[in-house]
Amino acid sequence: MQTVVLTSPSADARSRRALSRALERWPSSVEDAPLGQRAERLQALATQADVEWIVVVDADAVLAPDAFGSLRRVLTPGLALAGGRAVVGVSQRLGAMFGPPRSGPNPFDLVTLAGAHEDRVLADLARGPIDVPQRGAFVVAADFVRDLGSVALDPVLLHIDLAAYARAAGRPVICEPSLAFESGEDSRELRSRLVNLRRYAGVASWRPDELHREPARLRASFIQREVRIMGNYRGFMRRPFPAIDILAVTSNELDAARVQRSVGALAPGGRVTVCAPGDGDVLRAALTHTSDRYLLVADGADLPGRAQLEALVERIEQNACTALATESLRPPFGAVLLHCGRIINGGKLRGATVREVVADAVERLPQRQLVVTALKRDAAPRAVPPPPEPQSLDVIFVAASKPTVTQQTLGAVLAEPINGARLAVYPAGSATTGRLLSVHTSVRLVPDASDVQLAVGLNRALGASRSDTVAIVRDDVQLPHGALKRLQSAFARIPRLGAAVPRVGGSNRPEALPEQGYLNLTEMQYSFDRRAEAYAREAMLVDVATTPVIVISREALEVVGGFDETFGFSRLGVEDFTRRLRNANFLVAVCEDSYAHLFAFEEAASFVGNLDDSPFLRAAYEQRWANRHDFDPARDRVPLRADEPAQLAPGRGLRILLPLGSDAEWSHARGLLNELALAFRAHDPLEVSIGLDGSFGLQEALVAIRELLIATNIPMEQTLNVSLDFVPDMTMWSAAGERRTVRVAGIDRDALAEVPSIDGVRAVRALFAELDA
Amino acid sequence: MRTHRVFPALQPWAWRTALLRELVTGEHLVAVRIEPVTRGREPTAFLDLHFSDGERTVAIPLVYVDLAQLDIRETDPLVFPQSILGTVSDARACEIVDRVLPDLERRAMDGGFWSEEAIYYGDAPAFAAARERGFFGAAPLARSLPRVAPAVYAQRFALSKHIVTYGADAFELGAFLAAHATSCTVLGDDSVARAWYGPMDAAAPDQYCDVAVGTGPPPLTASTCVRADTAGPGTRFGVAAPVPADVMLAFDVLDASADPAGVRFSVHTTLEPYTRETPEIAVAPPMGASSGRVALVVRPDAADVPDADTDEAAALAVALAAEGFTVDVVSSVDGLEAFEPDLIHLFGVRPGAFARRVAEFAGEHHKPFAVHAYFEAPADGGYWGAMVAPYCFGYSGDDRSVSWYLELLARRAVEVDGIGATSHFAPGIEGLGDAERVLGLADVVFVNSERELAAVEPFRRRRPTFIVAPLPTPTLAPQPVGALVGSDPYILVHGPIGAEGNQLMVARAAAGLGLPLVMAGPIEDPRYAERLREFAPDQLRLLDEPSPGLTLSLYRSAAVVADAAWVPRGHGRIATAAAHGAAVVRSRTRWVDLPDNEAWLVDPADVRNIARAIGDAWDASVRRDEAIAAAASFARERFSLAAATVVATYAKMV
Repeated sequence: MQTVVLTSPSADARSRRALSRALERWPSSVEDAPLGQRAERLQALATQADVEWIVVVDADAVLAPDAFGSLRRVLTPGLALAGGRAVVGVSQRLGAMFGPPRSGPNPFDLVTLAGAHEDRVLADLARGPIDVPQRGAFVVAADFVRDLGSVALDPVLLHIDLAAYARAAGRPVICEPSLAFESGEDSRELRSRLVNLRRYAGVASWRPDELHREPARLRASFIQREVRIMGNYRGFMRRPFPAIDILAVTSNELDAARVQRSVGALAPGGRVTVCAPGDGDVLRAALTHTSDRYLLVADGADLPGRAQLEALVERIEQNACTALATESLRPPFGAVLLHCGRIINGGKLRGATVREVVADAVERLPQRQLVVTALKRDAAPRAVPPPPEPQSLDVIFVAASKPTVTQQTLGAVLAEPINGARLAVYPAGSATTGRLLSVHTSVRLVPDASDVQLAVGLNRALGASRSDTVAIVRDDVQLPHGALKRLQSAFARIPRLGAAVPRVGGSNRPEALPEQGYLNLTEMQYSFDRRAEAYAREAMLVDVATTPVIVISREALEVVGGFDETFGFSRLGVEDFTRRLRNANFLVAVCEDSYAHLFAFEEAASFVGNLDDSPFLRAAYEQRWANRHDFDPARDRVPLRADEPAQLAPGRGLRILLPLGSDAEWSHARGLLNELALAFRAHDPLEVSIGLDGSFGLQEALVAIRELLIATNIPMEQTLNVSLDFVPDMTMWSAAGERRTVRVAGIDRDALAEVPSIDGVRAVRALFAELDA
Repeated sequence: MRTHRVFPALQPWAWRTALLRELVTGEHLVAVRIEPVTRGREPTAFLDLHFSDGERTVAIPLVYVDLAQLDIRETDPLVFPQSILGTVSDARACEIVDRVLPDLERRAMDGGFWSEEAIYYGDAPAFAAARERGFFGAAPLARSLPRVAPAVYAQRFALSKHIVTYGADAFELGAFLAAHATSCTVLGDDSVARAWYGPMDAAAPDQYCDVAVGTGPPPLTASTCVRADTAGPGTRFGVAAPVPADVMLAFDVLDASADPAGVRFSVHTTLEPYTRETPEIAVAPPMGASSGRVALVVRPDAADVPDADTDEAAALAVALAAEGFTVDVVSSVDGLEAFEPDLIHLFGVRPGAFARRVAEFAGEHHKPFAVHAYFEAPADGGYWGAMVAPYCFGYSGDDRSVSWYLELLARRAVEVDGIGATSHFAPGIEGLGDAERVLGLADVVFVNSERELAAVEPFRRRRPTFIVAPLPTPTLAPQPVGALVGSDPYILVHGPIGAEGNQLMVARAAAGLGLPLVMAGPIEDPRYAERLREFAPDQLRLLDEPSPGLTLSLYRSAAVVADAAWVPRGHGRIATAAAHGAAVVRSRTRWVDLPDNEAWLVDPADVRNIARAIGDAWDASVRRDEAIAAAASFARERFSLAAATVVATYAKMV
């Protein structure tokens, strides 16, 4: 029996030399056949009884010297084809798989098995069964070709034609990476012919559930995850296998012990929990912690094998929206694999037992447009009802800007027809804003006495809201008429939407649109109306939103809670909130048909807006999110405030005067202030009264004080009482009322010459002792 | 409402605006046909929507389903044909989306669209009957499209004409022509077709008509007759369904999976487009007395994908033969070896690997080696454009995103895999390194322009490089083209259909102008050709590579010849077109001396720029007697020098 090498007469000298060298280890006869006649020649050679293997070498293949070294070992009887490993530039190609198509009419997706050429792991894992050998150099069993008879083979697509027929005949095809060669890019002709995959429709059975995107050994180490590019293009990326946690359901202690022993091989590194069948809460609790991991729920006495687990994983990764894969869609379901990176609000699934919770998931996940799939297709999916349309909307207006801006933006918010409550959060000390808001009787006022940047008040307002959706609008945002309605309508189209934000003007945010060119409110409205029509119902899904106007679903609020009071409703607060939403598997959308004008900070001078670019907040935000890609409610949920505002310090007590006129004075005072902030709380009868009388500006002071207070890690509502005023008349300001007044040592003013000074916490405590006495 | 501009020729109900305005509502939607198809290699689906109020019916065919939106909805999943814009309101479109979406989503949740099927939302007898009969919009495309092929072909004859359709399929054929002609009347009746396609005016037996379309001999006299059978006189055409797409028709079976038993039809016409006189262009006035064996080497795929470079090689072969040389045009090293040349002249340094082998052969055999470079410097952005421009069409779900990407393209702001307009990039298959090496090895290099000279010079190491005029195709006897392109003036694009030819951008530009466009050339890239057919305006006629005689006839009757190729392979064709008096719109990168030089230079990345140039050239093509005479004179003076220069250079080489 002999081996014949079928090569091309157009191969150049280098290719021929390389072939001769490689064949020194595997003596064979060499025949030339032009590309057009290659298939016929192959079939003719196969009819010769003494020919056992035929090696097909393309003109552009330059074989490695030891290409055939290990090959003979794997050429076993029954094998149809053996392919190798091509190095094409900086990549390696190891063949292809007949992947399951995502929709008709092609019988399969031809998935090239490729990677960086130095990736040895890929080549190792690709060794073994594969669907299509790599073009360039591959080995064909003569008896296989003989069995095909006179079937017409395409000389350019010979490797794919033969692989399809091998599949039909049930003959194995393998990849042996030691058959290594350099090769050129696929020719235009080959690529042209590849577009017609339907020609293979009748050649073999192409049941999607029998097709794979990766060879078996690769499937055990990597997944292929669907990714969406530029809105409507979907591709796949190879990624390491995510962690698999196991929930073994059994009441039998022996089974439980066996699970603990055997789980290492099934899901290395995975966390194992054993629960009784009636303990549905355990499953619910496991699903509330969302992350890119799988949760296998299986009978403790009948855990699936690794192969079955990989089949479930493959099924769950067929589509980026598949959240649950099970053996059967009918109870008792068998082993169930849940994707914790896709399920929303799993803690709300109903059922007393584990099986009831799974049944509820099978029933309810499709309503969120999450796919539920089964290895055994024993039930057809039902029509998907559209998501419920939000019936009501509360609006929370966050007022912290110049009164003229507040007045204008408030007018726009009040003009929006909503079915729900209107709440306004504002600094309790801001009398002008309070008066401005209080004339609108439909607005419920939520003054924030503890935080001029309103983080506490916002969470209190969120706690007070009751509607399906809640809009938060900062008062440096001018809404065009209809903007909130369009944002709210996105929830009726996108089932998993947690928050929707509009496009805004400007250039330094992901939602920003380039210059819109309007000069007044009328033009802005016209521009918005045109945009709303042109981009009707369009949205862009994002991972992080930044705009100070946002509409949030009730469910999302319940799951992730309110805004972190460190950040408040600043840009970083919105970023933090939307990241928590995304990690909890909610979607966040920028609605293309909605727009809002964002006043520049110089125009609005918002106390909240001035935190947007604060470096200390950015640093805190980045530190928090550096390595966090999950949502743990115990850690990440910010409780909404349902309580009444805490009682502040009584009118009697101690007042520390701190006039600030310059950066230098702030530097001098901050040490003492820091000590005081650590030593005292809001309920202590102490107030630090800061009086600005120089070049140290209000916004500068606000940010500086917030940075200092946040650094104490004490909740904003409980931190030291600090007030801030402009003091053109220091004498009036220092009038104590009922409280005893002191000043900070080292910061002197003539008007305060008579006021005693303190230099530290100890002095303050001594004074308190005096007061108590 | 999202809209697309694909397959505009297949919208037979688009002109029934009153009916569309009235019947297209969620309430009147009675049936939907779903057909899974592929777009590029991506699976997708088209819907045909059928509306009826019990008496009247209308349909919107080829509503594209954006499958990704069925998984996670960022925008409307249905993309309607642009022809209904202005007729059907956004609110009505929403009603329809809401009506069909649950059914589509259910299929998406079940893994996709796998087979053609019809969903009924109410009584739809007209739809059921039409489906039974295989009518377009109700039956699978594989069955319905071939039926209407003669009418779709006849659209090229319809502009400003009176058309009569006759025979068994008269109603159906008429439906596809009515929107394109001055009048379209029908001889004969068919109640099922009338109910489906809508009423049409009946023709009188003695009615005047310009074009008759139907099966069998026409019952009245017409200057052009398209017969849905092949029994009549005239040119015969086959109908093929090009793979991988399912929707379009091809009339050139070479670029498709031809079905030998498939539909055939014939076209007979007595009308020809206006043709300019043939100029006298002597490619090389023979001096004679030369001898020797000259091998002109062209690309390995030259026989399948002829282009300007192969035309120039053929023209030079004629000139050299007249001079007394023994000449052969070969496309392989084996052919070269068999010919045993005294001198080797390579046309084009792409693909580099092949060029290198030819150069090595010349070196090994100590033969003088000349090269016509046709070199494109990678930093000039030609390869970048060829790569990114198809993405601008392919990645787009609807027409607005196409426009947006094209704006970015015009600003050269599109990047793919980090490759931008100024990147030093050429695809691996071009073998740039080898090409540059060959430029260094050649004894003599010919270029067509100063710009090309500048690109080539760094590799020449002071060896001789000459600028020569392009070689136009020698004059041949004219052939009739009326059956292919109709009798009206047109814009001609001649070249292999593929990304480097940039035909998509020209088609987009011509669509904006509403001008007839003829694209002739072999399919080099089927996926690109699929895109081109998809986005082609309804006035586009695609022809396979014409014979040299037919080519010259097309040049002589074309009002404008446009070439916005990203990466040109020689300039012989635009030289020929210019010599034949056509107004030539060409890419700015083509810096060759031509008549009307610099008049209509375009940026191949800017579709608006191309449209403006074509529009200007079209306007200028009306009164061009002086320009035509000047072009002929220019051609006589310049082009005849090209071959003489080459021969003189040979003399120095040997």
